[in-house]
Amino acid sequence: MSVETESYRNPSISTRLGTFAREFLTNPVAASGAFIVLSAILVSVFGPYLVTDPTVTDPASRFAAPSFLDPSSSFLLGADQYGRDILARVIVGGRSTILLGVSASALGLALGVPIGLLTGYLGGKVDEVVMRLMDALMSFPSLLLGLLILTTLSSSIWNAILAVGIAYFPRIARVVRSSTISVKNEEYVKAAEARGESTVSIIFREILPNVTSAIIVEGTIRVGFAMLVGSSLSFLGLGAQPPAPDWGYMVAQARVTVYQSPYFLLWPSLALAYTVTGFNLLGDGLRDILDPQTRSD
Amino acid sequence: MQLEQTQTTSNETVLSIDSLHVEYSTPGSNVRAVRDVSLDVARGETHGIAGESGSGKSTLALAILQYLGDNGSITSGTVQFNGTDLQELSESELRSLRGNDIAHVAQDAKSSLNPSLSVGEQVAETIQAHQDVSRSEAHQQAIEMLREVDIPDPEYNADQYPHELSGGQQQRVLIAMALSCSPELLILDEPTTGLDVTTQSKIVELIQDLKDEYETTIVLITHNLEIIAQITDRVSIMYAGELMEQGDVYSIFDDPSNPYTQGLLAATPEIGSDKAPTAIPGQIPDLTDLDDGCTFADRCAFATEECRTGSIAMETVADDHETRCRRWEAAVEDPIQPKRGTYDRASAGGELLSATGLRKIFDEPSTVGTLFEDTSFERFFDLEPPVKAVNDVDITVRESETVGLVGESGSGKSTLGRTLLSLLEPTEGTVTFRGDDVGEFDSSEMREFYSECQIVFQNPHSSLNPRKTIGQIIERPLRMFTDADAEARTNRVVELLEQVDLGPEYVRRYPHELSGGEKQRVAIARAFAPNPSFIVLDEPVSALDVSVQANILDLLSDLRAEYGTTYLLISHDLSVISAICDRIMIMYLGEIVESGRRDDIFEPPYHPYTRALLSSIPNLDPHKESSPILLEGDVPSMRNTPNGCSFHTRCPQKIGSVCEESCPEVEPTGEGESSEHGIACHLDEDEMSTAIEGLHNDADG
Repeated sequence: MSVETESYRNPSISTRLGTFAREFLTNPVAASGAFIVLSAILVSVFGPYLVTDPTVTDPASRFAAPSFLDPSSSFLLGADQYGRDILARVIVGGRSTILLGVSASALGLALGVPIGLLTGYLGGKVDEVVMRLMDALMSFPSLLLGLLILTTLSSSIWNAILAVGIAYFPRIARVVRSSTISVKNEEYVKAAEARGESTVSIIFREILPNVTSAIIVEGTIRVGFAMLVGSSLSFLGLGAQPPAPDWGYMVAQARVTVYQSPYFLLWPSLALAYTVTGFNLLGDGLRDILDPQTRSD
Repeated sequence: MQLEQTQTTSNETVLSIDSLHVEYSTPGSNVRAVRDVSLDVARGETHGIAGESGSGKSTLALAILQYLGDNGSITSGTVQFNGTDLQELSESELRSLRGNDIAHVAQDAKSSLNPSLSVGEQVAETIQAHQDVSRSEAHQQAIEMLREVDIPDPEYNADQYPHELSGGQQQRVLIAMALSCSPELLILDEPTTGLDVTTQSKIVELIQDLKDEYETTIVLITHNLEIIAQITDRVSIMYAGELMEQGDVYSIFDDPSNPYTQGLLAATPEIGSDKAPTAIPGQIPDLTDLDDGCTFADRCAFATEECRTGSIAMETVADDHETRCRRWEAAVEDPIQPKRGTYDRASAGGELLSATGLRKIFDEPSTVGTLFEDTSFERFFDLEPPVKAVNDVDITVRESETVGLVGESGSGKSTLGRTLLSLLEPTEGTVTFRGDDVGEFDSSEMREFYSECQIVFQNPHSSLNPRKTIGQIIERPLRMFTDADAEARTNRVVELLEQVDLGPEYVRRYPHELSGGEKQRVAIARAFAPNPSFIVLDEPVSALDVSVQANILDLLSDLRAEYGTTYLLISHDLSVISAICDRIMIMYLGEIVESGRRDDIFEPPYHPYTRALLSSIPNLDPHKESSPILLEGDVPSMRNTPNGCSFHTRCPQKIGSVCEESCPEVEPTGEGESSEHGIACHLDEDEMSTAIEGLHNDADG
């Protein structure tokens, strides 16, 4: 008996993962989102080893007229006004953009989830005071808040992550709080209170496992948004610093020369749109699969 | 009233359903929700369709209307209305038929009304959709319809929004809407479910009055067999999508010829009788994967091998009485009988838990409100007065006894239960446990108190954490309250599961893999895990089907006998309370109006409210007419409880100004102070002592 029953402490995760994987792969939105995200990540992780150094300029093209190169066999996507390979820059630039999106979203979760859980479960005055502060933070447009933080600190990719994370955590806190409020009225939470469980134990054992779906979905969709804000900051010259290749920064550079060479603007924008769409599709798909409210059972 | 109904029935068939099959397609499988149902409803007849959840009764109603939604379809069979095959009709013909000729009142009154339109407008809308009348005429007609269904002050209430009306009134509005085009056929789907028993009896009365007046043919769908017994002419019993038995109401209730019908009747509790509700073992089969033979065979005491082969046809028992059972003769010969005699009871010991002068007032001022404690501010924002959920309650629970706490919704009974367990802090008064004041407990004494006092909640679907296995759920209290090591805990979990009749294989399952009854068993096992001496059962069976309900009551009574546990059973259902309680307390608007031993409550003298409650419970015997005392109006809001006796606004036996001015104390009845039976009423004992006609007790003699 003990062999059989012992295992309930570690419920058969494999079967649950199996069901999840099956639903995931049969959901077109989630599957295409996952494909896009995965391809973007793989390219930005391994791509840089396959291309030339994106900061190397080609003096010959730099001083030739016109200084941009249209796509050719040596520069598949063309080269910029310094003669740098755009393909290489787009591939390497993905690193900082995706890194910024994922880290900022993670930072937002790290701040937002505990606040959402606490205010949602405790309610009352704590909730009232903390959430009004969150409202105040949220009433700033996220880009403006990011600008504010970055101009106070200095311009760097790490400060950009900090800025975007701070701009987004109140939104995450609000989503987690509303899920927490609906879960805390379930009778199993009342039952835990009735056996005198501590607040920490109720939040982590009873509530957190039941709001993880909301957290995963929110975190995924936030990555896309964070990438957009991060790129905007770089576009404004406050995020990634030259000569680092960054999509937002590349767009800023291309803006000046868009009439001479539209390709320069096109490629980084396409890459950004592709990746952000991927994260949004993945988030929507995960919501369909994980969120019990949109499901029939 | 039975006689009148039978007379209005003619031989003309209004609705004729012939071997109807309905399927719902779901990803991966098809749910065969209705299979081979044939029934005829004659003009003027009230046809009852009874069944538990999953029996396909609501699907049948929707199939009659040809309104099955995108994933439902009639796969074979016909539905004829006045000779017209409804499947032949076009969508626009169907639209004019629905509402005009066939009206349907859906299950949940609250969600059937549009919250953003006034009720008058909604009734008028229906009238305008089917009749060529002007807006103002339609509005006038709507007010007339609301008057017809006894909505007080219809001119005023027509402009009210659904949330401003009570549940009973919302149901009346829906019925008004359905009747507004004088349909020939009215389909009522669970018209009284979710309503309090006193409101239920008023809706039943309304249905009967309207039927006499409009001569409408009615199909009444309900799980409530008592209502079926009281108001229908013919009955169809459904189980797992099939018709199990059909016939006129007397033959079904007098000579049930299907084991399922017999089981259902045996499982239905009856107040004041010595019948112990007897469960039907097992559960409803999976409708996506049906075996050959009888769908009920796995739960049936009469089933033999032949029941599990082929398809089972309807067999004729007598004139207008058919049953779907190959062994019906055996079932008729030796029908399933409910157990007699009450459950085993341990004798009550000394005082375990008591409360004196307990009050719980919910005063939920907004945070902004607390910043300004000025009354002018409150007046300006029209802040509502506090809710008095529990008002000066004295209660004593002795060891090993089962105390029933009865009240309608909003009587404060759940709040009282939770306040006794310290889940809510009392506003006033004290709770003592084994003589010690619970309010004075330090944290380690509180821990002890929590391990001694447990609670089981109403809704089994929300009382188990969906992310934990059953094993983890039951183990948690063991981990908290005992020093047992992992192995000992595991053994105890298996032992507890065994005691609630679940096998050890359940430890690894998740709550969503269990049925409602099984979940409630797990919740009970969890409550018993720390070996408590006192358990509050808050509506433990009200979310369950009647056949499962009896099962849980059985289990609770077995566990009580084994452990000598004390129960406080909170329920709105007097028949459930009567089945297992030693002492009963009746609660109205936060106050205990009557308390006493079980038999004291069911025998005179009665508090006027108890009398109304008892008389409102319909009789399961169609030969015995119920004559409910219909209370006026609705339960007042707990924010504005009446002065004096809280029941005086609705009391049929009100004396006069004394009831409005002074609040009666609970006084012992009968001989002297020692009596356990107490009533809080200004009436003399003699005036409260008239017997209730038709109550099971005295009718049986």
